[in-house]
Amino acid sequence: MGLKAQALVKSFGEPPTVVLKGLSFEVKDGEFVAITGRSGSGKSTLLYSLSLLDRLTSGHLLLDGRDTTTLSAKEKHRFLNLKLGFVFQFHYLLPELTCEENVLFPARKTNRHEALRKRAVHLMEQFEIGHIRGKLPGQISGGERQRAAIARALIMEPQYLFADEPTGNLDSVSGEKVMRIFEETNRRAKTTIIMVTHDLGYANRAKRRIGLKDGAIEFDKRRPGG
Amino acid sequence: MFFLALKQLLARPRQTLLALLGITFGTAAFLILSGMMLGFREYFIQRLINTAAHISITAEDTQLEEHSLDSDFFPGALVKWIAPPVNHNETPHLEYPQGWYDRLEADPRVEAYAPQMTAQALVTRGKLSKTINLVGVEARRQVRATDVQSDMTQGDFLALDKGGFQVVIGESLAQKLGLRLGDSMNIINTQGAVVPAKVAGLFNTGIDQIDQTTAYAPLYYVQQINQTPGQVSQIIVKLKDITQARRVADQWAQGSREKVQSWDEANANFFTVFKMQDMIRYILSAVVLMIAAFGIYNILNMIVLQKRGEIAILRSMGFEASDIIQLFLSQGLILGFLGGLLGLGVGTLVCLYVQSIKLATGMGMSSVNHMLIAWHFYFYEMAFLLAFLSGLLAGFLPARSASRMDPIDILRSEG
Repeated sequence: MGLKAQALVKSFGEPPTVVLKGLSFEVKDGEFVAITGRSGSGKSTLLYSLSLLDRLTSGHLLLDGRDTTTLSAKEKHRFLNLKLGFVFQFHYLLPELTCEENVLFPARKTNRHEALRKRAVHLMEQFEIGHIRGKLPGQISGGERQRAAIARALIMEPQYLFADEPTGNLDSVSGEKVMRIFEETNRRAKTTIIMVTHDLGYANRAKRRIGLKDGAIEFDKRRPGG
Repeated sequence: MFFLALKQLLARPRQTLLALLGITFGTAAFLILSGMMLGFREYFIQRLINTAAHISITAEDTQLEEHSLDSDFFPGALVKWIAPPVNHNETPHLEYPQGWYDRLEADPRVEAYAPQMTAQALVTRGKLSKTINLVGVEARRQVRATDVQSDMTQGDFLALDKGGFQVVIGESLAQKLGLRLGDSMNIINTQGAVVPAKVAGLFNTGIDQIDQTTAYAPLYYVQQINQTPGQVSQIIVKLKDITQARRVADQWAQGSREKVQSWDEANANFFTVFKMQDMIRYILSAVVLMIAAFGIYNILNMIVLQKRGEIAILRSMGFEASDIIQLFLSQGLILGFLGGLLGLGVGTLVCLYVQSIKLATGMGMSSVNHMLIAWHFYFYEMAFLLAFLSGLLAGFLPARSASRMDPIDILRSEG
């Protein structure tokens, strides 16, 4: 059923500064969308609004056919835990936990961490970080941390993966690995990925690009054959 | 969340240990202070109850005031005395002791009672002399109404009933006058009359104040020495249930001309001191625990500020505000719980050590030769509860502030 944004408006402060100016678009299940734009264009605000982290000023957002503005707090948290995954520019791994414990942490919410241990190991091996399972985040490289953060975002097999500048803090080799993981995940698991990036090279690898300018959609392009 | 809370505590061993030690010391301090203060207090009260009486019925020593006799001498007139009447010098005595005896005999709550006449006197032996309270008793009744027989170290208290002017005196008094069992001494009343008496026994109540100044003698002889034949200054009563003492005393006091006091009323000054001790004990423990709680609060507050990003990611994973509260609150509770347990252990060990300390003087209680500690389960409950509560309070404020953090504000400010 995908994601449907209808006249999304987000404003801040008093007098209000409108950051998102009535955006409407649709993202189908299994799409890989890159949101691009200059700094201050509203791309991160859009991502946080689409991922239920931020509250819309007006408009409607439908996820899986459900109007998210009508979700109760309990339903919203359930949605966040089970259907949505996040990757941020900074990994935000919990420094006291090993990489494997970090990857499994979302599953603790529903007490499924033991049941999902095999999947965690599989994901980490798939992302070439199987060897750092027992290590603390402080003992591994930046690229490995980000891949562990992606494994954590995917542990619950979310329907949607939201990524905010996931390669922003990485060198080109690590950035490439992250992009490959995204492409693989999108292709194999049919996970819908919405990624904010200012790197045009990475943005062009998405099947679709939505460009923002001053809080409005400047362009919405699909990659030929994508 | 408990899993993460534990991991976060273990990741900061030094801070955790310091916070834990604070709570441990606070809990141990409460336990030690309580044990020591109440150890002596309970011993003292027990001795007091055993030595004195559950209830005492004493003649009211009424003070004559300037206009007390106006209506007797000049009824209805406004009187200005040139020389106002002053109090008479008569020894206070119960007006109608037989009435009390009948009442006490009939009361099923009464275990035993004993009439007494107390007089001030001087004991001399050779060149040594000492002022004493000479207590005239009927030995058989006294033995039933008090524990005096069990305090006897030499002789038999009941010997007082065997005729002749015999006395039973405190061991400390005997030592001061160099008296031994069977020795003779002189007793001089307030008018200067000298009566010879023989030591029939020695007692040791454990309370120096009593052992140094009290001598028991047959009631009849004391009445003679005091020139108050047939009179009784006090009746002491032993109840079957001591916890009823205050209620029974209040009941008897109604409509009575005599002063009827339960043992705790008679020693109210001690209880005022005890209340002050309690206050000091609670304040001291509260201060130590507050300092410890403040330590926990500081540490958790710092962790909350350092972990803003992680709080945001937890929220994005679907963890709710209540989960975040649980994360930080449980850290306070773990510290309170473990610190409380450790404190109980440390407190118990220190109490055991203190109890083994030998005393030379006995702190006014000659039968005590070591420090006294009270062991009560409720001290442990209270100490542990205080520790747990300080952990709870110290954890609650940082936990609440963490739960109120908006993940999106954090991500924006850190991004």
